[in-house]
Formats: sequence, structure tokens, C-alpha cells
Amino acid sequence: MIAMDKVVKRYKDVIALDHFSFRAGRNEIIGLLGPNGCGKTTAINCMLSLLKFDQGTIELFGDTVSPNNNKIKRRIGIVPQELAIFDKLNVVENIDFYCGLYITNKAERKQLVDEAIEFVGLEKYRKFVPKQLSGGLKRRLNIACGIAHKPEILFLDEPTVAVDAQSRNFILEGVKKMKDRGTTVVYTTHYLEEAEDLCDSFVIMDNGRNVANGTLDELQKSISTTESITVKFISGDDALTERLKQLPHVNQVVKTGDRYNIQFEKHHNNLANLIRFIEDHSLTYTEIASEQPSLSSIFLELTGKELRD
Amino acid sequence: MTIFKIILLHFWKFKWMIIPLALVFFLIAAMFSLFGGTETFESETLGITVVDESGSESSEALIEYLSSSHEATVRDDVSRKVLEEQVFLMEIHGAVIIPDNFDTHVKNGEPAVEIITDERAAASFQLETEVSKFLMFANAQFNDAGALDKDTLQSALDNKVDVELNSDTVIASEENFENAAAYSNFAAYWLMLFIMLSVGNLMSEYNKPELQKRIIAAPVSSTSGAVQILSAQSLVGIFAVLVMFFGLIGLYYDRLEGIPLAHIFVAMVLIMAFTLALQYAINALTTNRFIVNGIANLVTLGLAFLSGIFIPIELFGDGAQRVAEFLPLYHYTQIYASSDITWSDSALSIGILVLYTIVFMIIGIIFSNQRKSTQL
Repeated sequence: MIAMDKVVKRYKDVIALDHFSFRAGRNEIIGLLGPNGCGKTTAINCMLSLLKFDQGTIELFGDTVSPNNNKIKRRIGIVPQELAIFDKLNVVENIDFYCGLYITNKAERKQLVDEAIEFVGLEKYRKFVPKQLSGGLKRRLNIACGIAHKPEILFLDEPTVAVDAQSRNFILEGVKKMKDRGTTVVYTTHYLEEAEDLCDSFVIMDNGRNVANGTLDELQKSISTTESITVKFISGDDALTERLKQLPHVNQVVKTGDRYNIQFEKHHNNLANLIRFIEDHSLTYTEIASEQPSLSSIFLELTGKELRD
Repeated sequence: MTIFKIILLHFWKFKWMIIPLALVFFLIAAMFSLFGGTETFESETLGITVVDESGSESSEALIEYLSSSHEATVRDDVSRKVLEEQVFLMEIHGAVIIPDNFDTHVKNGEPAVEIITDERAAASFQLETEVSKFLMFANAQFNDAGALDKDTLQSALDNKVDVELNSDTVIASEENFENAAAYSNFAAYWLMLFIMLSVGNLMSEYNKPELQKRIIAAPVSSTSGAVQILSAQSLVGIFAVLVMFFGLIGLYYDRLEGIPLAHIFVAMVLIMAFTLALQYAINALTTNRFIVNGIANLVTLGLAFLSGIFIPIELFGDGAQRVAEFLPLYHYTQIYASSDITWSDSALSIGILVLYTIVFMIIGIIFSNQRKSTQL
């Protein structure tokens, strides 16, 4: 569906995309993650033919993108980060306008507009102009304008920025429904937990480069992060910390209150070894959990940066 | 046609700005039509101070003539400065200073007296007219008889002619033309203001980068988009022109003689096209609604004043008149400059307005392309 190959985009001396490549198949949600200024929006703009790039190729649906390739444009949708809606038009008029840029048949368009309104839950606000809507409802309208024509590829650029929890959940559920009806979604966000929950695969960007990509499982396997096991003991002391450090393949033990976080080297039956140690020493515990590295820690390891709002 | 429709829909959203604007215009035009055009002037008895430095027979004749219909006081103990002050303070309507070589000036047909009046008052015009009438007749007397015969001069000055005004003649046509020209002048200001405010506000929203991003990403070619925008704006512009034009016909339906209707219509269409081109250039420069509104008011008011829409251009100084000749609104008024104007007379002004429109279109296209290249 999407194939970007070694794309380079320069703004004078600044390289926004540095031989950036990634591929996405049909019917999946791809999280495009990276800190501010890493080139996410530039990559999207290049895919949408809004920007000319200096090198490389971009293909959507197996066809090369260009500003005049309406065949491709007809099959894609965009929900920009900023609210791209007309202040003077009401909900129906806004959606109808954007849908009308793709669908000329009036009857078909009317049905699509109604479906989009229902999809984002704005049935009660059909005649409302944007200034009468809350921030979350405006975001929903912004999304409805991008999806009404039922695109096969949808670019969602930080759609949950500055929205309340209820609208955020509504939007995320909507994105999942989009996938269920066969849409490929390219999703950029700052919220890693949100991306972890929503996306099938990820592209981690930094300085215009594709630092890593794949499913969460693939990313977890690809990095050298240790296995982390946390145990909550009924009674513990500094001596216990020292004894835990004697376990095989232990790198570090961090005690926080009555919780002990033990960092092991990977792939050594660490959990089984730890349980055996507890039994051998007749220790009593209330919780034990082995944690895979989160997207956040993967991101930190790959880019050396934390992704913040 | 989606963009075409959305532009029209946006205009409709501005109806609560447009309708009052149109109503105010037609209210003013109707009042002007009902109460204007029949200016009357009645002569009145003036308080005049005369300083006679000549003491000649002819100066006495002038004093006698002025005294016959006004309260003329002859004084020799008053300075020019005091007279000016009295006129300024409206203690007297005017003063006439007759110099010692008055006879010679009258014989030679030269300016013979000094008149001090307040030029803002109608009395000024009355006094100057009466004095110049006396001097003309006195000059004729000198030339005819070699000397001044006071009695003959007096009877000549007292002669009256009965004039019968015929409203169906050229005078009525000229009055119709004057009224229609005043309407059309103000209509141009209204058209410019209407188009600049409505189109300016609409396009400043339409050209927002975030909206443009979505529109450009859609399968609509830039040419098709531009044609749809231009068509919608032109349609609204033509509608506004028709409202103004048929408004003129409606207000003066029984007094259309002498009004160059075809010229006025062409002028309105051209000023509408020019304003659209100008607004296109402004919108290519900025999408800030406050700047757009500010420029709209500044440009329309500035052009209207400088081009003689509000104040007759003849009242301007030479420099300002020369500047006005370079302005589009001046040429708009010149397309229907007289009741019997021909197309060849209007051709130059029509051509200049067309050129102005083309120039601003080109400027708009250049700025628009520049903005798109920096935006994307």
C-alpha cells in the first residue's frame, strides 16, 4: 500500500528526511513516532504530494505519487493536526464540502456525510458551527471531514492532542473501526501508551531517519534492554538486596520501598531462577511481575530521548 | 463545482453584513433622489461697508447701486484689517474697497475693486456677482459713450428679463445626469467596499494554510479550483452590479433622459472586476482577517476621496487633481463623464481600468505562487 524508499527532503541546509524508508501493508495501523521536528509531518506531506522531495521514491497503491495524480489522491484521506474546518459552515456543510472534493454524486455524498457524522458521534450537532462545539467535538468534526469519502489510506496527524479523555477514547475506537472496515491508517502521536494500544506496527523516527520499525514484539526483540522483574516482598532489607545481586545474570537491583526491581540479562530463564531463589530462602512475596520493555523504554534506548507532549 | 458552491454559500453567510450595507446605501440614494437636485438661491439684503478712495462719479454710482438693494455704509476711517475682522466675525457680509484710480481700471476692464468676503457664505457669491455686473455695464458705458452716464447705467442695471424654465429641455436632462452621476459615484464606493469586505473575509478563511493543505491533497486540480473561485466571485460581483444598476433605474425611472445608462453599467462591471483583482492580490499577501478589513476600508475610502467620489475633484488643488488622474476610480467616473458621452470618449478610461485589472491579477498570481511555494 505505502512504500517510501530512501526519501531525502532538504529545507536549505536542514535535512528534514534523511534517506527515509518505510513500508506499510493493507489494513493496518502504523504508528509514526518521533520527537518534535524529527520529520513526521514532512514525511506525511511528501506522501500526500504537498511537498516536493529531493531524492527517493514514494509509491501508494503501487503508483508513484505526484501533485497531479488524482487517481491516488482520490483514495487517500488526511486529518491534519490543526483544525482544518470552516468557521462559518456548520457540521454538515463542512463535511459535505470536503467529501464533495472526492465524491461528485449528490445522493451518494449525502449518505457518506450522514455515515461520517454517525461515525464520529456528532448526530446532535449537525447544524452547529465550530465555535459552538467543544475542543473534543471540533476534533471529531476534523476527523469526519477526512474520512467521509472512505479513504483506503488515512493519514492521522496527532488527532488526540488537547482533547478530553472521553473524546480521546472515542477517537481511538473510531480509528480501530476504520481499520476494521479495511483502511490503512498512518498515525502520528506523542502519546506512546496510546500508540502501543492502537498500532499494529511502528516506525520510530529521529533526525529524519527511520531508526527502527516493526511490531512491538519485533522492536522489543531488536533492542538490548534487560529483562525487568519486580517483586513485592512482605519483609525485606538491604541484606536481601545484596543476596539478590548474587543471582546469575543480574545486572542491577533497585529497592523502592518494599519493591525490588531486578534487571537481568535477557534469555536466561530469569523468572524461574528468581522463584527458585525465593523458595530456597523461604521468602514471602505478594506480587511478582516480569515486564517486557515498553514502547517508551524502546524509544528511549533507540533515540536517547524521551518523547514528551 | 464543490468549491464554486462553497464560495457562494459563504457569501450567503455574510448576508447580515451585506443586507444592512445595501439598505443604508439605498436609503441615502432615495433621500438624495427625493430631496436633492432642486437647489434654490434667493438673494438677500447684505450689510456692506464701502471704503471709497476714489470719490469719482463712477464710484458714487457703484455705491448708489449697492445701496439700492443693500445696507451699504460708506466709511473712510477703517483699515483693511478691521474690515477683514468684521467679515470674519460676521458683523458685516462683506466690504468693498474702491481704489483712487477706479475709473481707469473700469475703462480698461481690469479688476477695479477689492472685495472682502467670507468665501464659505452664499453672500460672498451674491456680492461678487453684483459688483462684477456693475463693472461690466460701467465698462460698456465708458467704451460706448466715452464717459459715464449714471442714469443710463442705472436703467441698464435695473433692466430685467423674464425667463421661462422648461423642465423637458436640456436643463432637466443635465439635472438627471448630475443625480445619476452622483448615485453612480457612490455606488462605486459601495461596490468596492462590499466586494473587498465580503470577498476579503471569505478568501482569508479559504486561504488558511490548514484548509489549503486538505484542499490541495484532494483530487481537484489547481486550475479547476481557481476557475471555480473566480466564477463564484464574478457571479456575486455581477449580482451586486445588477442590484446597483437596477437600483439606479428604480430610483430614476421617470427621469432617465440624459443618463448614459450603458456607460454606467460598463463602468460598474469594470470597477467590480478591478476590485476583485485588487482583492485577489491582497489575499495573496495575507490571510489575516483584521489586515484584510483594514486594507479594504483604507483603500476604498482613500480611493473614493482622492478620485472625487465624495468631494468634487474641481475643489482639489492642481497636485491632487493630477494624482487623481492616475487612480482607477477617477477613470470609473470618466466613463460616464457627461450626459452625451460617446464610447470613443470613454475608451481611454475603459482601457485604463482594464489595464489596472490585469496588472493586479498578475501581481496576485505572482504573490499567490510565492506563498504556495513557501507554505508547502
